[in-house]
Amino acid sequence: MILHKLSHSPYSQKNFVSLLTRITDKDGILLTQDATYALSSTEYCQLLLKQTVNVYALEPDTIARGIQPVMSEIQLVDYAEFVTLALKYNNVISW
Amino acid sequence: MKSLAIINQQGPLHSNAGQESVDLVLAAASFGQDVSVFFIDDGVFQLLKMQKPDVLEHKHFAKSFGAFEFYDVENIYVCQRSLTLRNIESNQLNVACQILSDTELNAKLANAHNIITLS
Repeated sequence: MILHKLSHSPYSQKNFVSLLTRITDKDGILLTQDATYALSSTEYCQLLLKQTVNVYALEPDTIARGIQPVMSEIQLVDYAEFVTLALKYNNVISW
Repeated sequence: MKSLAIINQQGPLHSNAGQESVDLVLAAASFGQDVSVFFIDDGVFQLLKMQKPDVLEHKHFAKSFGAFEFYDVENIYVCQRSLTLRNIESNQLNVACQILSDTELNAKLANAHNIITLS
């Protein structure tokens, strides 16, 4: 049970597709910083949700960037929930 | 007179490249340089109206794009493909700009004397 923390823009992260293969359906994904730009793209949201239903995004980072999420399946979390998530999974990988 | 083209290709909060490019544009323009500004790839995210970087205690440098016209900087070019890929509509942009196809944008770049990319 691993939490995959992404922080780079999906549009410019070269290995975005290949890192998806590291994610199993028991894992979680947390979008932070420029990775939150994925929220405004249905295509990227579906790519993430295909790997696991547990997909989260750090809300302050989305507000700062003026992002309008297109899909509600990705839950927005604040910093406190971020900490809870990190503790819930027995490991965190920062991509 | 030599012309100066400045290319923005990173998101507003990726690094301070965005802030530096604004400072460079305003400085060059205040010395009467012929300045043109290009927004490509993730650089188009700098133009989003809805940004609130102060939430993360970041300076909202995108506000000073509005000052470009007072410095006679009217050549602001945005890559159409980058906008479409990121499904950004032109009404979401916070500055008056020309949205160009790749060929048009590359042609503008080709006849700039000096080109600076900030990333």
